[in-house]
Amino acid sequence: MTVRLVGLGSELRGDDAAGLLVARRVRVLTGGRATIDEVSDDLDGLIQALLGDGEVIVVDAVRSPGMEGEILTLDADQVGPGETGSSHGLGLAEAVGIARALGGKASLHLCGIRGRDFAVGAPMSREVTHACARLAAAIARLLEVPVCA
Amino acid sequence: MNDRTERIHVGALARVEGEGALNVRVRDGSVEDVRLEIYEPPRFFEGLLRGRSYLEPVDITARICGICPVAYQMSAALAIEDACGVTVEGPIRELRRLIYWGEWIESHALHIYLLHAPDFLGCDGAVELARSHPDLVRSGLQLKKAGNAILELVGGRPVHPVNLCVGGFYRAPTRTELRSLLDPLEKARKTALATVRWTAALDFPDLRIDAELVSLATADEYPLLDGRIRSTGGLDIPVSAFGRNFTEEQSAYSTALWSSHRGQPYLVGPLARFTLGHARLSGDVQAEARAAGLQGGCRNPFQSIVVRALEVMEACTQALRIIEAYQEPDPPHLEVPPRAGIGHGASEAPRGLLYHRYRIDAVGRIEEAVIVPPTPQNQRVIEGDVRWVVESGLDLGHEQLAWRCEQAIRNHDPCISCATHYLRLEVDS
Repeated sequence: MTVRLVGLGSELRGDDAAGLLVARRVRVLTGGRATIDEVSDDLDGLIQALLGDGEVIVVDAVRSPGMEGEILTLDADQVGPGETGSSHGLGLAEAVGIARALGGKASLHLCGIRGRDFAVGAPMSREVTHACARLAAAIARLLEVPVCA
Repeated sequence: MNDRTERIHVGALARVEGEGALNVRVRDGSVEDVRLEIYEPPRFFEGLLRGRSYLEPVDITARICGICPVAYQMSAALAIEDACGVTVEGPIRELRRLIYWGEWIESHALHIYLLHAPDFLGCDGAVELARSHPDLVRSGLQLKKAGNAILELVGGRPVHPVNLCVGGFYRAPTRTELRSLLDPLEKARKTALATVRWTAALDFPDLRIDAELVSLATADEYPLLDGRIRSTGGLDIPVSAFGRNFTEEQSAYSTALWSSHRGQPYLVGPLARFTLGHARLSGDVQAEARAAGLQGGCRNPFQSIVVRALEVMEACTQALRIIEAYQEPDPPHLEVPPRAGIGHGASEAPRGLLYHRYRIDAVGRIEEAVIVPPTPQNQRVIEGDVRWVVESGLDLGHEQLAWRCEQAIRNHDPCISCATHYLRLEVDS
């Protein structure tokens, strides 16, 4: 069974780059062997991944009360619609909803890193940077292990 | 609505790119005020570029927008090359047109299918549309994928392509690599044709925009990359005269600058391109336009969904033609030595005319940058459309009227993130 990692985010919005940073770090740690997509403003790539078979791990920054840098695992149902930093108002919830409505059967695992500053042009916070490194290491270990069908 | 003051407030517009809100005030049955409020933080790109190398705007301005980066890269490159006295022609220009057509395909497909179609098919959004019309949404995703494939192969990646530079490209794809796009593009063209036909059958409110329509124009190509600036009001000027003919001003309630021509609002984008350039579409696309009832142009913003579908069909046709005739440019880019001066560049982003101007010094440092995206140029016309919707829909319930107002804005596929960058910042304290 294939496992695909999708990192979501925007390089221009501070902690919102977390998903991209994790994806790039995992690419390095796995020597380019893992199937990794970076999805910035356009969630079409995520929809395409969810329409395939296998498993999809999505990493994104999370905006919610709590400690910055905390790593969360989420159900797709926990992702709220509406507020996104991405283009054309298609957020993660909409992308998942479209893929499911079209019969996409890929198993979806959501990993979030709680961010603090999502302002345009803001640098990534230290807590989130450290969390990206920890999560990337954990995912790289996971991807190196054969997945049971 | 009755004889008292009513307010329609849409706090966050749905299915548009970026963050904006709408406020409408109606008093005693008359529309007093319509404000499209852009509250996305300004991007300061024009200020950011000052002091940078003349080779950098192609990469930096691509970050202004995630859905139309190629448009920024093209207008930036054209302006820099103009300043340095270099003209790109031949196979490099054809490769530029190919990647630009790819962007039109993916941007228009996203808008037609996931953002605009729900309005016409009674759906709240793309998820509901995927449930009620799954084959339609699959078609849209297939079209988008074909457009993204062009960007990825020619540009290096589908978002913020990295292979474009001043003078052309860092690497030109081989003929074999490009021919791998033929099959998906043939399928995309068939889907685009089907898109024209089903959108042409939709019901459209009868609205006519009387504002002047403005687009690029050349003698023998549908407006895309360079040319002169023409309008339905008789304007025919070189791109270098843009600043003398179009003015920008700050709005009190928006972080986007507003544009006018001779003090009046004007419209850029698919309706303008189609009305001014329809005779330069491919023959079969022209035939489909006539079959759709759009001969001679289109001034109904609700029918922009049909015009975008025609443009996708044209983009697929031209992309196939370019690939079939492709000669690998060698070298992949021209050398562009820096030269002190001012350069102007314009191209047709999916949403309309996108103008760049740069002043650079003798060693290639940028001293001044001006970027005028399409959406702020259209903002006043968009507000006028909303005013018409409210005036003609005062007997509707509040919720339905608010939705109609949002639809009127979505007709124009505004790119709010592109719109909000400017240099002047005044702080009252």
